[in-house]
Amino acid sequence: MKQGKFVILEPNESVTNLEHERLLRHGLNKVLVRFGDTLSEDVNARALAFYDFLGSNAPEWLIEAAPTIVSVVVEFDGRVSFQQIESDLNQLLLAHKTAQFKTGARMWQIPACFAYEYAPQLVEVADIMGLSPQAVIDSLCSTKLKVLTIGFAPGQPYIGLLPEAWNFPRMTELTPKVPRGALAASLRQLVLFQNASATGWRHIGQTKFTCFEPERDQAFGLQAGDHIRFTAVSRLEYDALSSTPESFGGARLEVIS
Amino acid sequence: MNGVLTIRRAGPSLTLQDMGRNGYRASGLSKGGALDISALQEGAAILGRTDAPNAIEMIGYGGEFEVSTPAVFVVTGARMKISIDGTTLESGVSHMLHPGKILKISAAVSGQVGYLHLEGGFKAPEILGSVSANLAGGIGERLQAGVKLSYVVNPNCETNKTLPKPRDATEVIGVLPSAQTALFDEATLQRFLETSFRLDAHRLARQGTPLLYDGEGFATHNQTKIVSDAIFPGDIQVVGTGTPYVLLAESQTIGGYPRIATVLPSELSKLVQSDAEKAFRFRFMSYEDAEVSMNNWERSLARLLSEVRNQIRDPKDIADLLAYNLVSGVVSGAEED
Repeated sequence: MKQGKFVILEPNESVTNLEHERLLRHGLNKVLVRFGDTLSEDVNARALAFYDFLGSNAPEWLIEAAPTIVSVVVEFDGRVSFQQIESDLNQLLLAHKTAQFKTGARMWQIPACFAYEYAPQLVEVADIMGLSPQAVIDSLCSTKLKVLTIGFAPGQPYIGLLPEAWNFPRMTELTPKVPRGALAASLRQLVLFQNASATGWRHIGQTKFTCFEPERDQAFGLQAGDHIRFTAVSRLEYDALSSTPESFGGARLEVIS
Repeated sequence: MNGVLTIRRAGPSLTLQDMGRNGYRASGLSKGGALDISALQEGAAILGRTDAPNAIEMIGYGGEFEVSTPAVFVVTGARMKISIDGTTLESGVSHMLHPGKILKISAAVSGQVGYLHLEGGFKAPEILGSVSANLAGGIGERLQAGVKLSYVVNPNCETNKTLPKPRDATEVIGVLPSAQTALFDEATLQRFLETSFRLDAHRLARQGTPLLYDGEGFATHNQTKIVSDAIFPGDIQVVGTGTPYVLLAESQTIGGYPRIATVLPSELSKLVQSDAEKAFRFRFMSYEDAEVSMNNWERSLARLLSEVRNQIRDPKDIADLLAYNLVSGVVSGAEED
């Protein structure tokens, strides 16, 4: 190592020969393939589709890939030069453009309860949106939603996108604790909490869906790209649902390929 | 054959750790595993182990331990105060613990994170391919007083074994650009490299650690507009107040704060084990230098087993020479230093 000298940063960003995608090197052996700088359904769908494409066309140097909301992060074998990685990724991006566009093939229907004790901030959100609480519930349950990405906690989904009326920011003060299975909203998205957490997202519903249970056969429930619909259930129906991780909170999974 | 380790008293942050879990990033589960991979591997080598290593990771403070069979142990990583029945023992050297005696490991004297290795390693149920606790991810549990852990009895362990050189405390930690380094202006980056940082030892956790420094923060202009993206152990994220926060093994997988740089994996042990009062700086490495550093690190870990040697002692320093176990670790006096 050379000591005490300010090394000018090498450019770690390269524009691909494609329209929107950018390759952003991260550390020594990771690169973000970024499909856009702002969240949209289209940008997210392209990132997820490229993640799938990469999975079925994995180069030898691929160690691990994972989709985030607007990117696919790729960890590569450090013995391969970055020039090679860039060139291979550019070719894969081009090949992917002409490949068949694949949509999510799984649909979950997840029971959610919006009774007051399970949705303490529903009225607040209704006020922000200028709607009645029932209209907020209807909007949430009638929107075809998708798992945009899994992250932060194991198996925990970011779900979206809700209509524009849901585009309100996070709170500046955190709620000290929402329970496991809580549905919380912000910025046209929902998070379904894997663990009891402090959060700046508003708690507007409750499920008994367990996203991750290490001892369960299917340890992780949801995958990025899965379609989701929430079905409103009464307090009585909700309380009757099984709480075991194996029952996925009464959710139904349908393969819709 | 297995033995049983009983934890009589436990410091605030004891967990079982190995090399972590690979392949679950897409499911939101970070790799986890030991905060100091070098220390984990060094301990395994000192005990003559060639299989996947595991150890009890102790952040800041150890605890009190008992065993059911005569067992060889070593504490690596942070230099911690170690004693059995009031006799002080050295960190980084293997010793014998007999049933009925209590091994006391207290505060770290230098460094932050210690590893208690025992015989052939601990036996615990694997979850997703690893015995590591990942508390943030809801896997495994903090080790508390009363917990018993099985260990594999390993006839190849010897006492008085050690590795040659103490790891050098450094004042410079090598980093590389992150995917967001370009969002910081040149002046902020320059100031980042000129600033002396210290570890906020009281807040060091498996998820990460804030850094202490004098002067203003390191914010970017568009801090709040950045879409969340993948984050990795070693990333130095700048939170809303401008304070750099180094993410460690158990960090979340996605985050919205920009990363000013990312610490090279081969440099991360130095940062984690930095003394609270000792200042360090960051320096951007070239990719070529980073590759050399990584290769050297991997090679040094691969040859640990062959570097294990007997600890050479001055008989004057040994309080009770006759009671000292000279059977399994005879000092010939001919070893190189």
